[in-house]
Amino acid sequence: MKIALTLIFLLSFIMGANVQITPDKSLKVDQKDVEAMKSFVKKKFHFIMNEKGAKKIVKENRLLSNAYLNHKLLNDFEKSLIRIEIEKKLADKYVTYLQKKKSFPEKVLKSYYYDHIDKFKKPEEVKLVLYKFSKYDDALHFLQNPKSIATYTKQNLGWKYIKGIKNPYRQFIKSGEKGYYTPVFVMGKNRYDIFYVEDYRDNKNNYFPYKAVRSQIERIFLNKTFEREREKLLRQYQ
Amino acid sequence: MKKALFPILIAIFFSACSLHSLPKYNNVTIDSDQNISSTRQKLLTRIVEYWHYRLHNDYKHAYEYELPYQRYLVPLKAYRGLIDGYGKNAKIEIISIKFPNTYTAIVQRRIKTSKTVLFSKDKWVNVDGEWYHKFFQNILPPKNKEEQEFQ
Repeated sequence: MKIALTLIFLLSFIMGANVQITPDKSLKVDQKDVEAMKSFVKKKFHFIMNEKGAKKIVKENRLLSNAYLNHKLLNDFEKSLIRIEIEKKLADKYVTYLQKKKSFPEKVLKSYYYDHIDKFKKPEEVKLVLYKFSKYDDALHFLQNPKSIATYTKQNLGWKYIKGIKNPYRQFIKSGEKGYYTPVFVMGKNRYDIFYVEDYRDNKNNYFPYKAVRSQIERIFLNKTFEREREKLLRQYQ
Repeated sequence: MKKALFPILIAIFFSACSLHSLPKYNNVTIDSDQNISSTRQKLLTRIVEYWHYRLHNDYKHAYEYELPYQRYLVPLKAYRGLIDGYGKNAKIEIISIKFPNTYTAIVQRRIKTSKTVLFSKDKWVNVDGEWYHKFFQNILPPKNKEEQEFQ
């Protein structure tokens, strides 16, 4: 799979079902390659890569895969494997493209929403305030007596979903109640943070509105109807 | 149509009377909030009509009461094979209705056939003011927790 994905970035001629893979001698990495690499990394590893990094990785992979091809190590089986993967990807893309062209009736999506309303419950939220200190002693002093005069920068962070807060902060914030101050977090040299839970909402009976989750439901239906649409489409071409 | 509906309506009427003695039901009907009352009335009407068609094995009409997304995914032909049929003299009694949230109603029911009495429950979902039945396929084993509960 890794090899296949790397080779997709090579000079590939896709003519119908015929895929030819040859070394890319120019080694030129253009903007499209960089964008493709960034998108691939984001989708696969949930990681945002910068332009420079993406360009570097594309070039490195190209060098190595060129070498692989020049040594004639790509055998027929691997070629077929790559071809099958590309064909599957293109076939799926075509079905999804046609699926997206005809939108789902609103009532269909809405009825799914109401039937699964519990899935669209809003998670717990906290209203946070961040206190930033440049001296550890100041932060400690503030924690012992928040009304004391201490030098800090106050920043209202607003409402945040608890499950969206990164650890280790979440661990402390979750366990705290309204009016809770977290311990001091050492953020770096001369940077000490304390979070304050100003307010809390359990959102027990609050749901995301239909409009906010419509595209999510649409994706569910794209999956649910994929096979059916594929069968329909195949009947046209066979 | 009216004649055909009569046996079911009678059953519902008696069950409604018995429901009055249930605190949950009393809570709904006595509540001064007219919206809740009208919602319940709309729901009862849909239940009566739906079960009228189901007990007469009129799948084409019963299908219209199923959730729109289920109808979108399951065509009528497949639907007929997924739900149970009942004998001609089957009668239904609605035992209770509970509303776990604004959009959902859980209806406890009893179906009497010539051979047996079946206790089960239905899920009804309110979509923009109209109640729709959620059907669960009769094929065992159940695919998920909800199916296990309602099958």
